[in-house]
Amino acid sequence: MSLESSPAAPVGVDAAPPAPPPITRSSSSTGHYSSTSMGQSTPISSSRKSELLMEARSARQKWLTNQDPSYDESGSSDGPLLLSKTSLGSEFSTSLEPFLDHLYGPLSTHHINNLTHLTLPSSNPLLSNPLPSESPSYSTLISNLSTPEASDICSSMMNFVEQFREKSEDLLKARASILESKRIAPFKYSDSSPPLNLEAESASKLINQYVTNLLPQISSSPPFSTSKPEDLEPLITMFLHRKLYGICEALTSDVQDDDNFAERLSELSFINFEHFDITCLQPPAEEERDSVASTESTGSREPRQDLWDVPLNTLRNISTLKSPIEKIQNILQTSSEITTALTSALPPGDLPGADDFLPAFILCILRSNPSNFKSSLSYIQSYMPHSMQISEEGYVLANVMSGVSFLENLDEGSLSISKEDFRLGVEKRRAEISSRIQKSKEKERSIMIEKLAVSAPPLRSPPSFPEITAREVRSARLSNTLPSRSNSYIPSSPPPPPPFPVKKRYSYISHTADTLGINDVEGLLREYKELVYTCERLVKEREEETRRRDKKEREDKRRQMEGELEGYDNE
Amino acid sequence: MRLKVVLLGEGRVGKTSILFRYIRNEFQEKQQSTLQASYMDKRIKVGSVDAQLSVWDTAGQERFHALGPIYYRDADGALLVYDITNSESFTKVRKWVKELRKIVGNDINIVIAGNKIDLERNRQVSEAEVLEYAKSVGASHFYTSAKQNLGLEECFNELATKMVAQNKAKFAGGVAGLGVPKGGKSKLVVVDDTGGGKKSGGGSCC
Repeated sequence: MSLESSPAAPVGVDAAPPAPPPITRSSSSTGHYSSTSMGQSTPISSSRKSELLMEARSARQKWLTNQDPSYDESGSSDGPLLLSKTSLGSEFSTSLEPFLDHLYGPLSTHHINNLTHLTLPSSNPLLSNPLPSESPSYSTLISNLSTPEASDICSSMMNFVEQFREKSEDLLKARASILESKRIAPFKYSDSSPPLNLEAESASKLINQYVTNLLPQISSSPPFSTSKPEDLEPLITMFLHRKLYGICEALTSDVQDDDNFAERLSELSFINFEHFDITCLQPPAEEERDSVASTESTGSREPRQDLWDVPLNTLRNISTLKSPIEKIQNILQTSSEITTALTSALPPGDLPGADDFLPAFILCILRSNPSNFKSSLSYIQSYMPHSMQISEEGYVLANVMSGVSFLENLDEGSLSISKEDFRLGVEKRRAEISSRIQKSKEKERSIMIEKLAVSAPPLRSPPSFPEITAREVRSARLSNTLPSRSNSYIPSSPPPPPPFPVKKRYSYISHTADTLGINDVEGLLREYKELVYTCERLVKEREEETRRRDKKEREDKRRQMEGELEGYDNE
Repeated sequence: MRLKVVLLGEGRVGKTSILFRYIRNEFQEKQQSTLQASYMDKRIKVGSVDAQLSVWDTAGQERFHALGPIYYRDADGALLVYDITNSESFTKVRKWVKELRKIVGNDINIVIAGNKIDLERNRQVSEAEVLEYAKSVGASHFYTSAKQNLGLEECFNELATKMVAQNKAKFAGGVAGLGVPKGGKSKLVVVDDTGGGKKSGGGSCC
C-alpha cells in the first residue's frame, strides 16, 4: 500500500490493486454473508476467487508483454495528441502518417532487432547486448514480474502508468503552447545550454522517483531475491519508459525543428570527406597542417564503402527505439561502427582519435539524415540517467550534440572548400529539392483535380456512362486490357444518394461501380485506408473506455463488499 | 569517485597517442580495431581514494573550436597538450586555458603537457616561457613522450590528485556552507584572470 502513496502517485490513492486480505476474509465469513444492495451476488466462492485471480493474472501478463491494446501510444489517449502535434499542414492524410509510424513502430523495431548484431565493449550490463530490450536480463525481469508473487508490484506499475497518463495531460498542454509560441517567435539554441524542457524534466522526475520508491519493495520480493537493486533499476526504468514512450516522446519532440534540420542536411549533402581533410584519411605526409588546399591534388582516402554504410544504417533507426537507453545505445553502436570504418582506412595499428572521429561522425549524421533526429536527441537528453552523463554514453551524446550544432551553424568558412564551391553546392541541392517538392506538389494537385472531376459529374447531371457487361470485363481481364467503354450500354439509373448527408470530403460516396475509373483506385484506396485507421482508433478508444469502466465497476464492487464485511466483523 | 577529464590539444600534437599509451599502455602496437580511441575509462588510486577517470578526447581543429563547451561542461580536470616542436600548438593552449576559465569556471584543474619530448632537438617552445605561463594560470606542467612512455603517469596522477582533493574540499565546503573557494585555489584564480590574460597577449608574439 505504501507504494500508492509515493510522491510519484499522489492521485487516485484509493485505486489500489485488488488486495489479498479482504478476499481471504470474505471466504472465511462465507456462512453469514448475505448481501443487501448487491441482489444476486453471493459470497466469493473459492472457485470464483481463483477465477478472478486468473483473470487478473492474465491481464497483468498481457500488460507486461505488451499484448495490451493500449500499449504503444495507446491509440486512445495519444492518437489525437499525435495528430494535433503533427498537424502543421491541414491535410488529414499528412498528419496521419506519423501517427501510423507510431502505431506500427513495434514492427519496425523488430526489423531492426534482426539487423543489429554488433556488440559493444561496455561495462554496463544493459549495453552488452544488441538491444537492451532483447537482453536476457530484461526478459528475466518481465518473466519475474509475471509471477504471482510480483502481482502487487505489477499492479502498482500499472497504476502508475495509468496515473502518469492522466497527469501528463497538463504537461502535454504546456508543451503544445511552448511549441506554438516558438513557432511565432523562433529562437536559436545556443550551443552550450539547450533550453531546459521543464515538462519533460518533471515527467522524468516522476518516473525516476517512482522507480526509486518501488525498488526496495521489488528487491524484497521473492522472484527478485537474486538480483541486485542497482541492476534492476535501469531495467525497470527502461520498462516504464517503453510503456510511456508516446507521452514522454511527445513532451520532447518538435516536428518543426526536425523538419528544418532534415532540410538543412539535405541542402548540405554535397559535403564529403574531402571537405574535412580528416587527418587519418590523408596520405601520410610530413607536410604542415596548414597545407590544407593540397587535399584535392593528393586525394584523401575514404573508409571502405561497405563498412561506412553500417553506421549510417544504424543511426537511421534511432527514432524507432522507445527508451532513452536504447536510443543512446544506438549512438554508441554507431560510434563504434564509425571507428571500425575509419580504422579500415588507416595503416594497421593506427587508431582514429577525436580529431578524426568527430568529422566522420558529422558526416555520418549528414549522410544518414535520420528522421526526427533532433526530437530523438532531446528525448535522450531529457530522460537519460544522470549517471551516464560523464561516462561513455555522455561522451557519445556530446559528440552528436556537437555534430548537430556544427551542421546547423556551418558555413563555407567551417570547411575546406572555396566560397564559390560551397555556394554552388548548396544552390544545386536546393534546386534539386525544390524541383522534387514541385513535382510531388504537381502530382498532388493533379490527383486533387482528378478527384474533383470525378466527384463533380454526379452533382451536376447524371452522366451517360457506358455500362460494361460482365462478359466484356472477363474477356478484357483474360486479355489483360481495359474493357472499352465506347461500345457499351447507357446506365439505366443515376447512382443512389447516400443514406445520410455526408461531407464533401468523401469524394466517392456518390459513385456507383460504373462511374469509377481505374484512375480512381488510388484515391479510393487512400480514403479507404483513412477510414480503416479512423475506425481502428475509435474501436481502440472504446475498448479502453470499456476497460476503464469495468475496472471501476470491479473496484466499486470490491469496496462495497469490503465495507459490508467490515460491518459484519464489527457485529 | 568519478572524475571527468577533457583532453585538449591541436591536431597532431599526439593527444590520441597519449590517451592510448596511458590507458592501454600500448603505443601503436597490436591494437584492436573496434576500440573507441577517443573515450577511455581508467581506475586510479589516489591515496585511499578509488577514482575513475573518464577521459574525453576532443577534436582540436580550429573549425570545431566553437563546440568546445559541449565537452567541457562538468569537467573536473583538463589536460592540455602541445607539441614542443610546434610553437603554434602552445599558443592554442593559452586560448584554451582562457576559455576553460571563462566557461567552466575556476574549479577546473588544469595540467599542461609538452609532448614529443623525445624530439627535444627540434624544440621550438621555450621552457622558461612555458613554466612561467603554467605558474601564472595555476596549472602544473609536465613533459611527455607518448612514443617513449615518458611523463604520462606523472601527468595523470597529478591531475587526479588535484581533482580528488578538490572534490573532497567541495564536499566539506558543501556541509559548511556555500563558501566554495578554498585557499590555494582561489589565489591561483585571481592570478589567472589578470596575469594570465596579459601574459598570453605578450607571449603570442614569440
